Amino acid sequence: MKFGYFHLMPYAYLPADFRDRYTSSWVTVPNALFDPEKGHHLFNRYLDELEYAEQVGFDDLGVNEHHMSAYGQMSSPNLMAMALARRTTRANLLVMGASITLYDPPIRVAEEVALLDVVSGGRVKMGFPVGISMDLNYAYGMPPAIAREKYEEALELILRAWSAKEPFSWNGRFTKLRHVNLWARPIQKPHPPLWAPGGNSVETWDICAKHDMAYAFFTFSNWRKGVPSVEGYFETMDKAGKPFNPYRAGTSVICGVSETDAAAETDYQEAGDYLFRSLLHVDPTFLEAPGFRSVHSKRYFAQRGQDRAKNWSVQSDRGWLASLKAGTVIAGSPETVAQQLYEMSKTLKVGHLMMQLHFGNMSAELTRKNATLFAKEVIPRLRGLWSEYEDHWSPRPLPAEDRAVAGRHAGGDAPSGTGEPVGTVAVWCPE
Amino acid sequence: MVRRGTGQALLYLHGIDGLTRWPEGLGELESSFEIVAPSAPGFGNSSGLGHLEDVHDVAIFYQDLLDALHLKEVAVVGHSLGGMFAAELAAAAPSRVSKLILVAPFGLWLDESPVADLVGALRKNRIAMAWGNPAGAAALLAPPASDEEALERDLVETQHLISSGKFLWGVPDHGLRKRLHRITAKTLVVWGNDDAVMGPRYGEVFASRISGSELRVIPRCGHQVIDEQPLVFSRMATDFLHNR
Repeated sequence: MKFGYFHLMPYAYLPADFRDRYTSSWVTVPNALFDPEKGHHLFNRYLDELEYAEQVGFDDLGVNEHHMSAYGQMSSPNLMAMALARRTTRANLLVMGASITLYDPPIRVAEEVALLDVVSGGRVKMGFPVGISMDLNYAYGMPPAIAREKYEEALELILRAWSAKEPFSWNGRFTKLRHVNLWARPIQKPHPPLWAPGGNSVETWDICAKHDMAYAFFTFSNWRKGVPSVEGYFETMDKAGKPFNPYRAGTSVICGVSETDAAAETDYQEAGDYLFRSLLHVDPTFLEAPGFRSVHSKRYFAQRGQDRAKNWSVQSDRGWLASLKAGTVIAGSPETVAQQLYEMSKTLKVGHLMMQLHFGNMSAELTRKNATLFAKEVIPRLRGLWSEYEDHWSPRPLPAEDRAVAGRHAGGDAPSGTGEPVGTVAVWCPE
Repeated sequence: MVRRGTGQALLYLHGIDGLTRWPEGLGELESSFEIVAPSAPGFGNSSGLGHLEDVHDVAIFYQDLLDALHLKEVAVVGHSLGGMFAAELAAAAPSRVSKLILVAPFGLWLDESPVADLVGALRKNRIAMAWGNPAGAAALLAPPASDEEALERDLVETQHLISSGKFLWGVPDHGLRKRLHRITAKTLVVWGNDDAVMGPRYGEVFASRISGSELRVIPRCGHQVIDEQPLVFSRMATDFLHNR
């Protein structure tokens, strides 16, 4: 089992009456509410938190991309990943993900990922989502009719650009370039492991099958509602002749660990309420543009009892306690959390857990406590799960001894070493 | 393709709803005209949306269609999305369009009163935006009889919005403004005074850029002109097409 520490970097200072006074935390949220000075401290704190996650033993440090939103403030995940590349040495850079549909030309993404992989020594674990409707269709104005087609062409171009050993021309429908020639090429061969974050589209599974990409799906509801997504995915892989492997799937979980179950109810209440009732207060207009999901996908999921937009609206009305009850979040003592994550991972057959252990307006202190408790008390209990399978969707970096250490190359004294993982690995898996 | 009525051929290019309804105002024209109403690519049973990248492809498509129908020259009525297509056709192939009626066409953008986001709106807001008189949209607002019916209705509407959105998403300005001067057809621009998607000011700009054209603004009327004011529209259209 692999564990990622997945940060969304939300804005922590929306007013208490945000939900009543404003219609949306996304797309039309008034940017006068963003205080750049507060943002300065917040982003730096968040980057510190990701670095700490490496110190306590997480495999991956996760960042992602959202636009025009207080919910997720990283409009460029690659920039954030580069900041981490320099101040970490061991953990993978889980970019989950960068939009290839919204960059023109898409080779810009290929180049940036190559830079990340080179500077980090081959630690990039790369997600290419088609995107969430708020970002894709409304913020960046991509017509639903062409979004998926543009994504597929961009993916083909990027894959070719990464592996080409000589310049080529690309006469595509959306991109036409006489010269495609990536100078800096990724360390990992043929390229960093690729992920398709999604959850709403049948077509994404076909892309995963075609390119052997892993699938990361997200639901804003009880994890059991993710079953149709993951079943459909594994079915598609099976039909494509891909051997079953839980490491080709991952999911993200909002999670709070405390000493006891009762403590988790109160410890995380403020942060959870802020997440659901303020940050996820999105104008329903922006949740799903017509065609964001194809007619085919809509029919597929409707027939399996899934209504994504409704899930979201229902979830946004709930606070922390109701979410805990509904199973949208997992929180409790380390034993409770480990037990629930075990059940979830076995049922969904996921080998990568992208943990959201900071959420809402969680304080620095509580964030650190949650990361530490999870790393010391939960990870060891689950680490052995899926050990009979091999993970082909995590990075294969240069050996540690062959990698550059920041600060050592321009002359001057060596920096102090980064922390070693905390605690020993105790293999414990109930059967 | 629907062909109804008898008389002079009249090409009707529908709006974002496709031909799910036959507007009452068209029914009124059937006694004097043969209305040729194709479902545009991506609407109804018409395939081919993938072949239309932009409005230039659309203009070529409709010339191809007229060729296939052996219509050398035809009067054209276009509403909303179809109005934009009709204007582009008339500008690209002026000799193919004898007379032109543009009913609340898309295609322009005025910074001082931006086009409302009709295609990107929630269903209930879209209906409120499009219909000046909500009573006219009663059938659309009626709850479906069953979950299956609700799903099928939703999927048909979604497909129509995908197809409309290919041309109307975000800022629906594809440069028609600089092509309007090419229209030689005698043109009538019709606008609902209460159009909440684009106000009558848009009609003024269209009319000012098409020489010899006339603007008629219909009171107590929203964006769905042909549905909302069928008699006023059909009388206006008949008079115009018969040169009165």
